[in-house]
Amino acid sequence: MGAYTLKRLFALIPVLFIVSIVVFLITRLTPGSPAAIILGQGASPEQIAALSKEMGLDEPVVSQYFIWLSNIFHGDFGYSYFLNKPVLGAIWDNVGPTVSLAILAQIFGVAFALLFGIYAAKHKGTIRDESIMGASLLGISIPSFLLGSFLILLFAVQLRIFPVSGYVPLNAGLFEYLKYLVLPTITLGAIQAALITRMTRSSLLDTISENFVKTAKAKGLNERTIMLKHTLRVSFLPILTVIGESFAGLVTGAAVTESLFNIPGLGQLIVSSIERRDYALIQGAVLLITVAYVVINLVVDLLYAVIDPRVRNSYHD
Amino acid sequence: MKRTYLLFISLLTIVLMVAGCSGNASKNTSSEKEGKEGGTLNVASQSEPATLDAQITGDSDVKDATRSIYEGLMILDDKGNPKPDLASKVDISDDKKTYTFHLRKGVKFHNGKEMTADDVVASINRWIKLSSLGKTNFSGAEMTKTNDDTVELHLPSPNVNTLSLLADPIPAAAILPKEVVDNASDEGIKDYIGTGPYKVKEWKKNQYLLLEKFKDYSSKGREVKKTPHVDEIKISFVSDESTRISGITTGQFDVALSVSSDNAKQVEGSQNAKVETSPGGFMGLFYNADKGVFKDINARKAVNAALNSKDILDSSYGSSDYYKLSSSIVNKEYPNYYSTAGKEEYNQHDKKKAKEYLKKSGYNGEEIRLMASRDYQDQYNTAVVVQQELKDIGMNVKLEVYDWATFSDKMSDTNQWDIYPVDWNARSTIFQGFWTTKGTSVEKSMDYLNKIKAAPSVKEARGDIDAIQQYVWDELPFTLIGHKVNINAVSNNAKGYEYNLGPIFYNMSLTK
Repeated sequence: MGAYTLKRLFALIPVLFIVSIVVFLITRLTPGSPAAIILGQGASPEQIAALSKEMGLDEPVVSQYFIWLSNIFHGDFGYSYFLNKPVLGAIWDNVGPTVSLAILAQIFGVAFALLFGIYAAKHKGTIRDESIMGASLLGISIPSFLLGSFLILLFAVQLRIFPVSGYVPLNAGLFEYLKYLVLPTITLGAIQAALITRMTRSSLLDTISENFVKTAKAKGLNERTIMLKHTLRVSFLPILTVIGESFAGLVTGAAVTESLFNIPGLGQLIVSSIERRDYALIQGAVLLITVAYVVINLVVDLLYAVIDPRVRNSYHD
Repeated sequence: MKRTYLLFISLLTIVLMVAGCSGNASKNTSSEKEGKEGGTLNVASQSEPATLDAQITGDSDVKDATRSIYEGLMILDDKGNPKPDLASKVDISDDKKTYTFHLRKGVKFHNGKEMTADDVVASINRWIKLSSLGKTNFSGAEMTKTNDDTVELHLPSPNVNTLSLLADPIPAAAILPKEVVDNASDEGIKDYIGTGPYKVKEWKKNQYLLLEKFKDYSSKGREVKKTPHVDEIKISFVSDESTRISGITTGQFDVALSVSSDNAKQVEGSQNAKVETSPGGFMGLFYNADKGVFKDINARKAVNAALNSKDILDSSYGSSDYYKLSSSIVNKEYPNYYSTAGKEEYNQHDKKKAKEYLKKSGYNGEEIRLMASRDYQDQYNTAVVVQQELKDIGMNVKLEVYDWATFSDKMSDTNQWDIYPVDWNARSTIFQGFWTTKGTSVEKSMDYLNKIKAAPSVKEARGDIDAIQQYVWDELPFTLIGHKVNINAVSNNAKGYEYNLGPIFYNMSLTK
């Protein structure tokens, strides 16, 4: 298993190399000068040229790339002139809200999905099953900005239960922290909940018809034990894949939710850095997100082994 | 199970009933209450300033955020007339080339140091060197120190706008401590220290700017009063407009900036906030008069004759409450530079005449690149209607849409575009940045601007002000489509909101 992990980590190197070239080229080929944006309207060409030079943008693109790459090997991901701080520091400042939101959305999504997925599977073909499936289809189809706007309108503007927008870190108190994250969590987690509900239901239905479940029933085990201890465990592998993929998506794709609820997370940071042509920040953030994506997927793959002994054994073959 | 369903339906009914009633429940009468001292004024701004160096940039985000932090020698009153601010008195020499500023005594910077002539000299000379207003209007001018309380601005030639330009907030001739100027690079100051009623407490990038009341501040003896009431002003950067609107409706924000006309109606219908409108800048359609089809004046006249300003502005701003049909570059609210010269050329929507001009220009179906940015919805909407109106007179117009950074980049290269709509900030004078826009006929306009500068007074410059307005309509460096109305939302809980070339927060107070 150790060898497998190492192999996967080594496979990350060419991926990162290709991503670094692509993101570097995209930022450099997109029109718009970061120096002109920093200096604003009325800046003279001389001022823009001077700042571009200070930012190292007067060098040929190829040498800019290798300077950037060699700095990364020394742990220096560059400097954000807009935020006036190193790229790693800027990303670190914005990771907390995104990870908080992603974890809460995932907990919400999984809890909701397991509850309703199991319930739907258990009552297959009934109106309750159809209702849950209909609701989950709606959850997949509804755009997050629309759901978020609706939640804001109902729970923040009309009922005044939750704040409209903003973020309070955990050290300001658990209640305040959660109060600001409830609506974004539901907004971001709804699509995960819907997806995992459908996956849980179909996976459970596949397993229910297996012989070992029939045997368990014949042995007189009660239905709850069969469902939770035997059926769900076997059905969990495909569910885990969806959870893993969706969690990586939550961490990396929360930009719309963050923007709607004004949460200072990674998504919002990347969107604003693209608008400002903050090259160093765009490059650093995309590279680190790639690492996060691959690592999360690797962790999910390793979790297979924990859950399923057959997968565990295959690592030794 | 049936009981569960009944419970669910009952709960849902209660939730919806409460939702329906809560609008009335939250009705308050705070508009009748007086503002009190203290508290935090929460402002939601669409975007974050790129810098807090008010001297070097004309961006409105920077102006709005820094207006409470810095002050100048002069300040504009609500009619656009310059009044002494950090200066107590101004003497002008007979030849109009030397302005003597007597400095107000006992003015303190946010770092506790008292303002001296050295600070003023360093600040104004930096502003002349780096700001767009300084570079274009004060080339060759210099500020010198006479004694600790007096400075002199020496001009190479008279400029009737000297005091107005020193009072203009975009970009502001802000007075900074000399050491801040000495430590600054041309790309911006590093310490944000001014003499204004509020000082910078924290700037959390991507989140908010927190300003704190400056305890040693006093505007005693000044004509334009600044009376800070709230302890803090927190300007949050909220890019999503619906979030800003929801925030002001619920009381999370006291001021929401940049409200679109679509959402203004929602605010007007709210019990907790009101819409504040104020004169905005003009929307102009700028021609590439250097290259291509619009090098020929007849092609520009064809477009100008074809345009229906009302249709365009209806599409951009929704209702006539949120725009003004006006042929003048400067708003009526600033009478010194308001002019109706050439108004017969404005808003003609005469397709027959347009086609005649087009024929005269020798236009032969060449593709016209109409460039627009969707980052500013009004500019994009304008471009869409203009495209249709020009197609109607037989022009082959291709709409090219970019994000703002790309748009700005392309704008400076006349090989990249033929025509584009852009709106400018409202200004109190005709001396605005668009004169140096690439592709406009700037050389001839400079003669008119120089004549205005050389006039003994603004009153005596009236003929030249009308002449440059007439020149715009005769030569068409751009077609003025109309003026927008700036819309901001202010909570009923907040008092003292003012607007003069942008929102002013430093006199605001809260009722609870």
